[in-house]
Amino acid sequence: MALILVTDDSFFQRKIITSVLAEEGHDLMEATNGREALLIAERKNPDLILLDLLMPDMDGFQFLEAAREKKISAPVIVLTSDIQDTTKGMCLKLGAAGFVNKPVEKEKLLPVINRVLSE
Amino acid sequence: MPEDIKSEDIDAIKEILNIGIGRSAQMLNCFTKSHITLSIPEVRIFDTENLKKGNEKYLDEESAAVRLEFMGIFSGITAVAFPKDSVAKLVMAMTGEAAGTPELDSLRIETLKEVGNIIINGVMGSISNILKTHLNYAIPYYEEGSIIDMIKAEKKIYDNKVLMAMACFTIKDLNVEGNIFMLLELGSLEILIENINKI
Amino acid sequence: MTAEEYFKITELFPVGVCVIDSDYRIIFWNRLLEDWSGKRLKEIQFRSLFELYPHLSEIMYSQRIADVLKGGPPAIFTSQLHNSVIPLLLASGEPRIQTTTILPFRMGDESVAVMVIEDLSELKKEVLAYRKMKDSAIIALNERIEAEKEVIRANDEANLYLDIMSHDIANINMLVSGYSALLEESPDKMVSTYSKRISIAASRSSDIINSVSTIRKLMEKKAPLEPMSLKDVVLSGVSQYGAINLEMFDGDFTVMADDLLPEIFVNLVGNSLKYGEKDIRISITAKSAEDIISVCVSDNGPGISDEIKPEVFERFKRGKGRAEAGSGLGLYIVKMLAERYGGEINIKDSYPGRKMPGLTICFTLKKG
Repeated sequence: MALILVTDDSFFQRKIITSVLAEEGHDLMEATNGREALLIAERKNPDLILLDLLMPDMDGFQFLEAAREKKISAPVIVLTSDIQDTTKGMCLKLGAAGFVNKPVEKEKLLPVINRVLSE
Repeated sequence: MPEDIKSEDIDAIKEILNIGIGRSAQMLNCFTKSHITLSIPEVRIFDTENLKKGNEKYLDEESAAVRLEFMGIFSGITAVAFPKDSVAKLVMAMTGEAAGTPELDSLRIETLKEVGNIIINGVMGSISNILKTHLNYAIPYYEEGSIIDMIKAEKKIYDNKVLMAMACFTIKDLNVEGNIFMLLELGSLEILIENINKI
Repeated sequence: MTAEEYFKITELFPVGVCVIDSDYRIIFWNRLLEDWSGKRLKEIQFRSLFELYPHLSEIMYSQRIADVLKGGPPAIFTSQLHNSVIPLLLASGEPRIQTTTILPFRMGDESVAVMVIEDLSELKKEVLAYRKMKDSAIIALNERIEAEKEVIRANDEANLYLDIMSHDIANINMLVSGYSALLEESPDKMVSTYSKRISIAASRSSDIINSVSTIRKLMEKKAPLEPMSLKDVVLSGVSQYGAINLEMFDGDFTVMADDLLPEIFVNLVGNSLKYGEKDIRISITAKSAEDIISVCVSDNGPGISDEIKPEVFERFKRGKGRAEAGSGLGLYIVKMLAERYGGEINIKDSYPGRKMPGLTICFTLKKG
């Protein structure tokens, strides 16, 4: 059981992600862009942040930079449809703890979440 | 936006397109050995009769496009279009040609057909995968002109109203831009949304 | 129906056609492909595509062919991004340039893939020749642009030298004229005679400098013509000669010209004064006719003999045996200017038959 912040501008994606995570019994919070995610992360101190990349009003890359600056301790797993190796490399360099491709598949997402939470 | 299309549905279409574009970007990345910067897709509904030039640069400018028609539980066209001045640079970079005049000649158009085909198939492949539906396809073909003219000349769309999803991508290293378009007949939209909601 | 029966029609097609089944076995290829490859259908039928063409097991090909067999969109392969799907050679031994389109097809209830192979070898040859031609044309063009820049630069440099030289010589001419004018007053007859000759020579030298400078302006300037007062132009042209015996037309006319028009009067009046006696009379007339103004400058001087008249407008032509000052460029400038303003010029005796026939030079100007 963990407190997870789901960040995605798409209602559709948040719905899929939260339904997968709720089944696992996690507590969930939602943000629709990087700026919101940053505010929530600072106040509510989640155990894990799931992060989309392409978002209006502070995208995922900018969030990773800002989170590092503000010393947000929660690990971040990037969840994106941009499956380029170079994108993955950029995210890991910016401090992401994991990188999962969309469409969200339970079998791929859960092992990464469990690994990151146990680290 | 017509009353019967909810913003959640638009959002879902956007995400499905996003996944397709992401897959294409990875292929393009492999070919060009360059990072592809993607934009958030835009989804709009057009009345083709009211569509006119002078509003949006990317719709007006002379483009070189590869397009693919598809028919099935939903029907439409997917196209990838490059502004004409950047497309020859892209092809030259991909084939490793020595620097010469960046002009779009027929040999480079052949190459562009393959590049466009790879991008479009990436988009369509992942969309039909996600939606678990089979689509039939026409032969892809190459076309030059403005996007507006291409939309207007489209006989397959009997409906005046058409949904257009569009995302642009940039290859900064090569100074190349491109747009991916998907035009859907509004008549088939309901079925598409139904399929999306089954996910 | 067998594959051969299904695809019999493609035997007539001007493209290569190859069909594979869902196990990637070749089940058909048409006659053109037999010709291109040198392999008969019977030799390769039911053999694995990957066994015959191992490069196709690379993911770039295999994944895309698999997508087509699953009923995905057609896939296009060119020879530009990688090897051809089915590499074929030209008679010369060079690889054929091909575009291969792989399409999904339902053969009865079986899913197969049809490869359509277009040969673009000729096209490539033409395009490459065209590119080469165009690139060399661009290089040649750039070289020409560079050469033109060099000409302009050299021209600018020559003009600069000319400016400096004209200016310095004009200064020295002033000095020479000044001192020689002083010496003309000498009581020594010989000194005074030679001084007069020096003064004439110095004045001729000044004329040359002025004429050259006028011609340069004439060559450079392509300013549009503007309406101006003919009377003002004549007055500004003759002012440098001080008090002379000049009769001028009444009233005024508006003509189309530029700021070089006074040079016509400078030269014509100057010539009359130069070649005439002290009491020479000069008259300038102007007549309006339709859209032109006809202007004549006449004198009662010695005139020019009929044989020489046709030549006087040429460069460096002067009356033979004349000691008077002059560059030989004066009438040449007058003619150039008259033509510039769109008119004709002619020359005749003022008083035909007389011992001193005088000279009349007429030209036309456009009305303003």
